[in-house]
Amino acid sequence: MVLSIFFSLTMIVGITYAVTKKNLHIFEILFLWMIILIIHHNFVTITTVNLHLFRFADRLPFYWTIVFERVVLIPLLIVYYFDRMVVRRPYQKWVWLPFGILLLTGLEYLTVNLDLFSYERWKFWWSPIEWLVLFLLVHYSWLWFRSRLRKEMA
Amino acid sequence: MFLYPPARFDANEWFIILNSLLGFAWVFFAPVRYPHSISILIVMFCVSAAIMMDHAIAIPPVDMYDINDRPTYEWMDFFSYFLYAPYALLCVYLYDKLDPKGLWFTAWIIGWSLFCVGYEWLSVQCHVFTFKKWNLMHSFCMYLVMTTIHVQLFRYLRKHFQDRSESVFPSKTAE
Repeated sequence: MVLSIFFSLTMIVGITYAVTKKNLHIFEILFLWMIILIIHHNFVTITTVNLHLFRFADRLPFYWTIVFERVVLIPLLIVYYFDRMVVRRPYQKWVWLPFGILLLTGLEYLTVNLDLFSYERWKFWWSPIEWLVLFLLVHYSWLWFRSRLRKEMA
Repeated sequence: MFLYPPARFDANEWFIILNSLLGFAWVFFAPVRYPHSISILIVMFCVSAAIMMDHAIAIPPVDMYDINDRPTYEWMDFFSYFLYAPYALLCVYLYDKLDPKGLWFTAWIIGWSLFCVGYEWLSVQCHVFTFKKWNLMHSFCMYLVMTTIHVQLFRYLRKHFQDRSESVFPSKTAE
């Protein structure tokens, strides 16, 4: 059931992104996807295994759902966000940022409510800060790659 | 603790440090054959694939193997993700130079997968990996898949770069 929910969500977001005009170069999309994977996986492992702030569900279908969410849905949502924001003016990007954070915090709230993982010592209000830090790290890594790509493609 | 230090600084730590240094040494001396942005994406693919796998199946509740000294996440674990990156670069560098086609391509994938299994066997001997429910045959299957995706990704990126007239340039206004 939970896998179906997340799979359906991913398909809907994936199809929507696939049919819309891309503003990012394909190299940038790949870069963003991989940098999100690297940063977010490290964050999740450190907070669950080392700091015991979260706890994954013991049931394997639930666990694989959370893996699927981490590998596909979260990077897809963030890439989609960057793709939409890239054509906007810088101040508009910062205005829209809270909505991006709210969306990811909402998704996290859903996973907790569906018992995919539970908070141990984590406070819910830390989640927006977590996503803000992720957005900033991804944003500045992407800017670095983008400038490099522009030089090589010029 | 946020990131654990090594329990003992021994064979596994030296294996990671020496292999990373020696592995990346050739990168600085090899003539450039394609843009650095392709190399960056190849290294990132290798690192993100390793992280994705390890952080999915090497932690509870799956927990098929341990990396380095502890079942928790050590700072040396992070460096271990760069172990395979120089060989991933070498694989596509030689692929670009030799351009194996047809059955030679199959032989190329099998050959590099066997190399990776051999390299993993060596890292198991040095206690970088401690298998619980995993074995080298599982690794071989994974390397076959990952090497194929990795080489196909390189071909795609190279082709995309060559056909750059068709690609959308990142515009300066977008930042």
